[in-house]
Amino acid sequence: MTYQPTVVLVDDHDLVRAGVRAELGNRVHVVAEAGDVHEAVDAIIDRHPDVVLLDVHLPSGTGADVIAGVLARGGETKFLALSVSDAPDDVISVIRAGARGYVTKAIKGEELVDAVIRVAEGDAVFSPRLAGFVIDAFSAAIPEPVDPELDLLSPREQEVMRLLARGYAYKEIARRLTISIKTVETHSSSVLRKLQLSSRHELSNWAARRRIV
Amino acid sequence: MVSAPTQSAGSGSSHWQMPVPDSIDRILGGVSGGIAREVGLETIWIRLSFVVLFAIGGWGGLLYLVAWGFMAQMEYLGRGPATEPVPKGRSGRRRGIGAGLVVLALIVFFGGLPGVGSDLMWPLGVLFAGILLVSRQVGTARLATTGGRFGTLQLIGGVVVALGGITLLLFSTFDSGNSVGMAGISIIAGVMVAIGLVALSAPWWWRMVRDLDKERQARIRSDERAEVAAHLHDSVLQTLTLIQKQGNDPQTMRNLARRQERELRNWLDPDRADRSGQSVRGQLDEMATEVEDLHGVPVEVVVVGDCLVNEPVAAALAAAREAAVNAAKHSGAARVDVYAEVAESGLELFVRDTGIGFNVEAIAADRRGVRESLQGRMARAGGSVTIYSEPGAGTEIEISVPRPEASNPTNEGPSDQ
Repeated sequence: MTYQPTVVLVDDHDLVRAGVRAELGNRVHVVAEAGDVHEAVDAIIDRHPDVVLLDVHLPSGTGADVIAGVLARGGETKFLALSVSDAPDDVISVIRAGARGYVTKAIKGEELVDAVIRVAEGDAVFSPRLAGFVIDAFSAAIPEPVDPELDLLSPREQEVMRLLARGYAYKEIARRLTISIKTVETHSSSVLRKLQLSSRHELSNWAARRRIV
Repeated sequence: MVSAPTQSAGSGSSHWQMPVPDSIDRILGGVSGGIAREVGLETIWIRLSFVVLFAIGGWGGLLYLVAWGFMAQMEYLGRGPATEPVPKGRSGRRRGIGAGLVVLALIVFFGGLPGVGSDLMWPLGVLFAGILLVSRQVGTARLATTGGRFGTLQLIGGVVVALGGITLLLFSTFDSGNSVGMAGISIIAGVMVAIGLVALSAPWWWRMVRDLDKERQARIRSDERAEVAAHLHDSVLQTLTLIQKQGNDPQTMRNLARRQERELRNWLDPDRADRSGQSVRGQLDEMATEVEDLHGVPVEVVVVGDCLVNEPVAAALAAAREAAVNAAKHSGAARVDVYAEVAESGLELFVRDTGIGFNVEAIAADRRGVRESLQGRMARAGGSVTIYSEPGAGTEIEISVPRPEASNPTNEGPSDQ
């Protein structure tokens, strides 16, 4: 692969940044690193990278603050959240702020590179955990969805999300559902859009996730 | 004019605060100094005001006593300015002027100018002096310690003086010619003594309530701290020690770190910890930890929804465990994915690896044991198992079990467990 997306790395721990940098290897080009919200916004505006790898918790704010700060200054870039947190609130808030995906720091180097490239190309990245959150958030029956286009997943989208939660890669999903990879990408981008725009109450009320049926 | 809040700009603080006695700039109780500091005037003007007011029927003295008691109380409660008073006016000359003013006021007061209401002045003055003595004593002593003999004396003295003030007040009312009978007087006396006692003991009660509250909060905080410390000691520190000893075995180190991570996450998420053990989510987390420990392959668990474990669900979880163990042992995959979805209709479990896979039909004979045990177990529980595998493309085992009480609208899960 010759295409080398440029990346800004935002994390407050030097060791984590060094580790992620080593995992990314030379398949992406890390152009800057930042340790807090202010630094990150400046670096992103300054270097306009293809992708920002963004920690959810920073000393002076959250990943969502970085996204808002960049958007407010007219920056155009794609964000991929990378965090140790697996609390649904953290995940959903950064996605709703505009991140194109969410992966945990336990992710293998090569999968991380794939995720960065996928985000750089405009696709969405769902880790199994994020896919699980999505299914949960959209699964509770609501009598009258405000906007069915945004508040409900189509059967096909549900299928894709379930396969992602089961650990399938896009290629494997495509094979399993006998559709093209492009179609899988379209479905997941559509789910991401719904996740960002839906007014479903469940998206913010994660107590529902804890339900015991 | 004395307490005009608009003057406070000069004091350097941005907003008006309750004055507290000035411990440095003082002659009697530091009242004038304290007010001056808050209002932003020279202390001398406040002093002069008190003196002039004192000369007119003694009101200044009364005011001073009331302010003293009140401000001492404020200081004790910590409501005053947080900053230490700026040392000023400590010079002997200023003190001299202040003392001179007090003496002047006393001379003027005794020498004439008996103003209006001076009949009430002495009893009220004595009463407030008593209250001041008591509240100062209560204000400075800790609840547990009596403050020594002097403190006790001060306390008793305060009570006596205050009661004396009440008596004087009574007599002065009596003297002023009201034609109330003896019964009336004793009722008034009783009421006034009661009021006096309440007024005297109020600071003490206030203080006691506050102290108890403070102590309770401190205890809660230290309990929490002790609990956190104990937990970290048992878990994280223990693991770090183990990791240092296992420095030459990366696999063990990884397992230790991973197990600790899981444990810490569970501990941080009270919801999860609350129902670990009896729910699908809790059981799967435990299973993943065990399999990781035994076989050194990470097991990623994603659960949607949750339910309590009943017999068929327990069978499904046991089957999932067996599938995960097989995947970890034989597939050669770097990771095992477990996905569980709890719906109204039942529980679905998927255990997946991207390892070597196998030909389900061809291998049926020698893997019979595994298949039989999985499928037999699930059949008995009323569920089913499906195995998808292909050489080179990994394996996925789908386990599903219906919920017998699916028609039951209650959200409580099985109660017969």
